[in-house]
Amino acid sequence: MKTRSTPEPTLVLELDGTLVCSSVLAGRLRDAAATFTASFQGDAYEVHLKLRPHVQRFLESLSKTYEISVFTTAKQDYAEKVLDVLDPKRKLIRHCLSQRDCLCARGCYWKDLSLLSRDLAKTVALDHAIQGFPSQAANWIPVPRWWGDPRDEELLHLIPLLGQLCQADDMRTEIRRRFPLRRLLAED
Amino acid sequence: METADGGRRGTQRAERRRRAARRAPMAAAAAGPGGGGGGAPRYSLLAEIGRGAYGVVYEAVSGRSGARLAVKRIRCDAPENVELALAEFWALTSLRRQHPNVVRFEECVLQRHGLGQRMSHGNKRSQLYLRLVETSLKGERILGYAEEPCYLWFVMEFCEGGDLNQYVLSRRPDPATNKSFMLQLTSAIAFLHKNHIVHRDLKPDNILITEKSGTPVLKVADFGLSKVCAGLTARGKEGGNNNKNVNVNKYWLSSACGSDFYMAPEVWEGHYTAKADIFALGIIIWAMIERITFIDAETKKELLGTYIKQGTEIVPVGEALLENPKMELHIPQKRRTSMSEGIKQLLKDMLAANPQDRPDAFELETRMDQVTCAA
Repeated sequence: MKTRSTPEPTLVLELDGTLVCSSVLAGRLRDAAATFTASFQGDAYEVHLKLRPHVQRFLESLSKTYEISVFTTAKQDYAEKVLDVLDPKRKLIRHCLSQRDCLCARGCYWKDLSLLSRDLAKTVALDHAIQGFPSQAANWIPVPRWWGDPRDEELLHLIPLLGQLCQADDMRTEIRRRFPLRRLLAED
Repeated sequence: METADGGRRGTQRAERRRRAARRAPMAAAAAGPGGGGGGAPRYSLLAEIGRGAYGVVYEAVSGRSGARLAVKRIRCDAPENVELALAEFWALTSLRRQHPNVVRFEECVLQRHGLGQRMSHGNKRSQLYLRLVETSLKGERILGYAEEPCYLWFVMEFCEGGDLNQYVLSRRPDPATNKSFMLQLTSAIAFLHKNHIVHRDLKPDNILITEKSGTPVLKVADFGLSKVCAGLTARGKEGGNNNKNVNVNKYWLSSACGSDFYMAPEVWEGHYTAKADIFALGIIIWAMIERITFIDAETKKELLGTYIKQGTEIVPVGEALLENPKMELHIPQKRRTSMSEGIKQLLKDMLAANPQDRPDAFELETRMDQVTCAA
């Protein structure tokens, strides 16, 4: 349990495009790290999953300083199966919020970080699209969407940066200072 | 007739279902799905007959048979729309047999780049279909679809008589028609529940009418919010009816949906079974017999539906029952209405606050037969 005087910083992560990529299209993803079935409307679909390079190191290293949560627009069942691969012992990721925890407007799903009931000054969220957190854009660090490139080093670069960030009194000020332009570029 | 505070009560999901009033015919040149091959189009669109955020419904003509049809076009870009469209598709295709009071489904066409392909639900060989499944699973917008979105087209029977609101409110009250409608609606719901389908959005707008045979025939339509209650194994064997033991009355569904005035108390809380359809039917029948209407604040349309008055406000019956499950319903509401004891009791039972106290669709069929014969 965290204490009142030293709130643990919170790291909120999207799955697809940020930590993993997956496809139900056969042959779309070669060398999948894992394959599982997801059920949808009475049918079972094979999902081929790939892990972003350095994701294990990223999670293991940052779970020491952050309380890590997944907040995804994906369905709960699908998210749980991805977590079975990413964190089979459930030691790194504490909570998993999914599509049913999202707000739905204009047919799209949006995430509201306040659902986590954590101090927003101590919360940082990674996602490839800003649409993830419309009301908490200040907490958002855009991460280029990963499509399966094995040479990707984005997560590796983020480890020291997130390490420094958790020392800030208000992470939002620090995020604004460090990413003045990226925010504009990352929209996809 | 009262005015609904639609701004507060209109749910997001309900909003997209609203059928707009008839509009002027659209250009007949608008090509329907499957017309990309250069030959005669499979369907030619004649006029727009309804529109929501979720899709557009057109009156169309079949290129082969010349038959008039209704074609619903759903834009598949946003994930929730995709899932709702696939859910509707699932419900429509799982009705292998037809019922005279359920709108007949002809086919589904998936269209992109002007080309259409006929689709079956759960088609794992279609890349396009799999992408739609993926969109629903991940809740993501499909990239690139904003410029070239794909569309699902549902081709269905055309009902020239409009919906239940228009039909009932433009005619003098007729007890014989009411009785016939009560039986037809009950029969439709029993058929759906037998087929493991919970409609979840029963309301007069979604009940269409055709008079081709001379007498008005009701057709339950719009399965966009319906739920097929079959386990994963149920589809395993083609044609095998191995899901006989699925009891829709015990199958708990989550996520609130449906239009507020027809929503059962438990739907307001987001957990319910097929008994929610029974409640909605109770509201519709009660309103139909007594001609109780309200004006939808957003569309300004007069709609059949009962409600509870609380001060200057009107509150959906389900919402009021959620607050006070012991609330006594005054059926009939108007002093002049003549209603048999049997119908009074049946409506009260259909509108019971506790879903377990409501009759299921099969019991309802029997009781509806009795009360309509006796009256």
